[in-house]
Amino acid sequence: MIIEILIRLIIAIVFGLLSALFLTTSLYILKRDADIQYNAKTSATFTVLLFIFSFAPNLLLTLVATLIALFLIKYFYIHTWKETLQVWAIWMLHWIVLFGIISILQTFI
Amino acid sequence: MKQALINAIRKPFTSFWGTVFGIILSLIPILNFIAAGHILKCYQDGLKKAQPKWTNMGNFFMDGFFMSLITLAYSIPLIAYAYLTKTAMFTTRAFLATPVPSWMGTSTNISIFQDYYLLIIFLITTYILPAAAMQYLKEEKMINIFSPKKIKEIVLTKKYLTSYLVASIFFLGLTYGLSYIPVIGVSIGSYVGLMMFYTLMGANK
Repeated sequence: MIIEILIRLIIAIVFGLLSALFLTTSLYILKRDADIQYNAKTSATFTVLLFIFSFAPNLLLTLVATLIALFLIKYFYIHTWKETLQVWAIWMLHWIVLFGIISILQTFI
Repeated sequence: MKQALINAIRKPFTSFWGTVFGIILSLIPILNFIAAGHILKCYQDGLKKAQPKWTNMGNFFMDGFFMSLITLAYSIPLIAYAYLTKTAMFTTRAFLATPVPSWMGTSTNISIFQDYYLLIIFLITTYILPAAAMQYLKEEKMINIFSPKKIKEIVLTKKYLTSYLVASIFFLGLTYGLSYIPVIGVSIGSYVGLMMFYTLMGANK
């Protein structure tokens, strides 16, 4: 049981780090100043949510986690909704591409 | 290359309603030529940051229509081989080895990745196809798309190969990532992915 929790935690941390990286590149692509502290807070919240939701994984809960991240981006960066949605959309694009590539690679395994 | 990649990623998000309109059009048969023409305009625009405006729909339609003809012409060897070997490449999720519907006359679960000859033909076709489109857009003459000399000049460059590889990763990742959403998933993935693909190609031409 402890090992299972540890594995979930490690996976959530990896996702959290990726999330921070993707958020930084998303802001870079949109030529906005990225604040490492804000990115870390958003990603940490996302990590915690993913860890909690991993005990009952489903698409809806993942969507909830990403939407909470959307509100955090809005809260931290105080952008207009249009700008926030642009950052969020490019952040989501990173995730979708990553999962798409993983699903292609899975066909080889 | 770096600026081109940034532009390519950003372009679908520069106009939310423009992208939504394009996705809706790409879902409707015949009208999807307009969406294809709009994507080709992204190639012509090159390093322009904003998405092309939805004006001159007639031109978009004609460009999209000719692009479909070019795609069809270049895909003949691929289609013929796939048909003869009954490989599952006519379905949207064929790459993931989804069973082919019975009306297609085949009942196989072979994925494109399991037939290496098909994979090679597929890769060659998809590698040459954007160059043919570029050639058409450059001179607007259908005859030029089959000129081996002109196609070779475009295809055998490092810039083209790099753009193709980077753009393909984004296009494939996006299309597969969104293919889990029924009906519209693949359309969103294809439209956004192709827009990024041709923007990158156009910026590096």
